[in-house]
Amino acid sequence: MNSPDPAVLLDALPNVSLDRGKRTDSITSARFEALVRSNQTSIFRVAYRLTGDRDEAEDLVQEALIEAFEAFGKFRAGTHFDRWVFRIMRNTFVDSRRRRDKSKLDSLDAATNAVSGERRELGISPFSADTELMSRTLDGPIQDALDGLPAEFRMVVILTDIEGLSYEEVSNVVGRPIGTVRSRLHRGRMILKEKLGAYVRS
Amino acid sequence: MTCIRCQNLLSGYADGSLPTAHVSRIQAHLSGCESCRRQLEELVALKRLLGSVETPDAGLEFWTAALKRIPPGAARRRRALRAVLGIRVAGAAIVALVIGYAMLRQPAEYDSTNPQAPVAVATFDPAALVSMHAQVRAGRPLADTGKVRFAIIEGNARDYANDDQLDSQ
Repeated sequence: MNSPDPAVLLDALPNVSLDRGKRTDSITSARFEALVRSNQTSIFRVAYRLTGDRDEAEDLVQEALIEAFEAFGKFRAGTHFDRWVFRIMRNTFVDSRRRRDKSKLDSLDAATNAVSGERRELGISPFSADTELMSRTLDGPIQDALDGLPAEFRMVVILTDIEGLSYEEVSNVVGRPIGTVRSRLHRGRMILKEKLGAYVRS
Repeated sequence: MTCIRCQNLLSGYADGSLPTAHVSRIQAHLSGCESCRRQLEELVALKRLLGSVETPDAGLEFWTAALKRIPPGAARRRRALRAVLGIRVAGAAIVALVIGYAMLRQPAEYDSTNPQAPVAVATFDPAALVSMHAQVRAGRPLADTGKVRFAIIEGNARDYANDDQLDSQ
């Protein structure tokens, strides 16, 4: 078959109007913004616990929001917007860590983690049975312990124990079967239990 | 039930996510095993600790700035592209289809009063192009009230082929 002349095809194509685009856009933007603002706490919380660093968390959220907006047509209204964004953040985070690991030396990585740790307040109170008091003052050690987990373990622990998602909901966010979620969760918690031993032992 | 087996299930047990058969066997084991009981208590304490952690918010300014930094045309470009393609394209790795304004080349908002000269087709699979044209024609995805000249759609056709959520407007 002869290659068709593009010019001929172009003339034959239907005329398509996109003039409605602008008005549709501002409605979409408003919807998107409303969803972001009403889910901002959990979105940032997951980003912060995942990255362990405030600046990195803000970058992660920013990247994820841009991707989320581009993919907004795929978001089903009425479903959990924050969980949809968690999924995007997880993918973005894994990609950026992979890129970073390729170009970074081990010593640089360690230095970065050390700085992150210092930036968090490490006011540790004497051992107390009051969990709330402990958690406020233990943010540093808790985040340090989370940082020590492989990213996949960290993600499921954050989603289950900090965000309160069920196994099935976590499975939907991370895109892995429930059995995998179960296993990663258990292994992640066991590692955390070791690191945070003094604070969980009775 | 052995301790190893029990401990592997303790997370699920603590979360109340185990089937009842497992639950009764674990409870039987726990009633006679202090080491596993202690593991369970520590797990529960850990859950409680993690669940009560407070995270500072990013602050109002951050969110306002972050939303501002989202390129405005992004969603529209993506949606227009999907609506016009509107079909599954198999095969060709890169399909460039010249069908309207050069929208995807423009980072800024396009101006519908300023028709662009046609941009040359970069690469295309002729058979796919013909087939696409026929289907878009038949499907009439959008009502037309005006005229769009040309756009370039470039990229991996498979990305768009998998996306079956068309703009329904």
